[in-house]
Amino acid sequence: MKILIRVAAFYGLTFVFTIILAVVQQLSGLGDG
Amino acid sequence: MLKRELLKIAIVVLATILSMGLHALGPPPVTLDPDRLSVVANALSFVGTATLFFLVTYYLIATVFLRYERKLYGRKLHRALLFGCLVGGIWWVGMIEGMFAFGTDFADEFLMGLLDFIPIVALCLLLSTFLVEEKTEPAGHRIKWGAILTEITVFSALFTAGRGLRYLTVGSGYDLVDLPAVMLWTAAFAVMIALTYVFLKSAFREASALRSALRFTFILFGIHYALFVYFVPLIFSELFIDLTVVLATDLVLVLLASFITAQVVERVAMPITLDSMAVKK
Repeated sequence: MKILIRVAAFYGLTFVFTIILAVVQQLSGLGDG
Repeated sequence: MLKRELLKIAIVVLATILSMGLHALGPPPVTLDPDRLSVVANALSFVGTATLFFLVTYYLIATVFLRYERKLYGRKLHRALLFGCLVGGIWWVGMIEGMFAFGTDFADEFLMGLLDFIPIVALCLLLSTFLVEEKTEPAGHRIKWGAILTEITVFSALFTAGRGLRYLTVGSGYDLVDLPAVMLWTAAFAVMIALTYVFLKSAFREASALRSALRFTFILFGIHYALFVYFVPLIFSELFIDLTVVLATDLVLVLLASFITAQVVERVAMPITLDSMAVKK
């Protein structure tokens, strides 16, 4: 169960980080978001 | 426990220094135009972002290696070499896709892949030397090449077919003129993942085929592959959506290939598993 939470946290954080980065870049006019 | 964690972090730092040093000797990366850099790379610089990336990546590879290495066969250095070469091999072969995506030279991508491969192998060897205890009775094992070849063929065919379907439907962003070359690379990449699936099988196998496939896909393959894929959008302000699609489809394909290979090869066509390959001396 612990490993499941850790793996889910890894993919969740990676996904959230990616979305935030894409949004920030879109707002700052960098690249294709 | 704390000492062990500190030692692990020290080894991760060493591997990162080795990686940065080796990459500094390699061919220069594609043009580092500030307008193309991501917000992270603009804030931390290219070198700072790459260093942070390698620290996180190597820490996660080290964590996965230390958790699963004892389930592999052979002496501790053999296990480290096996794990390091398979994970590093995926990075090495995976780097070559850059020649289709960015129009870079094959030789440059091949060399960059090698420079990714070496620190990962070194990381596993160092971890094994300082943090892994030798098994009291290293299990001898006899490899059944017929079974392995069948598994690699089925797994690779499924992954290559799935990727090929994506190139033709969702789109790869590659020129269709390059498709034969892209498919050749895809097959090589699929074989590399299939080798990982076959030779790390004892580390992720469970009674349930689905659970085994999930463990291989999302832990032994997916964690380092997700980081590998997201290196480009971490550095450059582009390809976010494209690479998210690549990562998601590759994870689904690996999950399907793992599950179907186990079903078809192990239970129907070739009821030989690594259990039967392991023959106690």
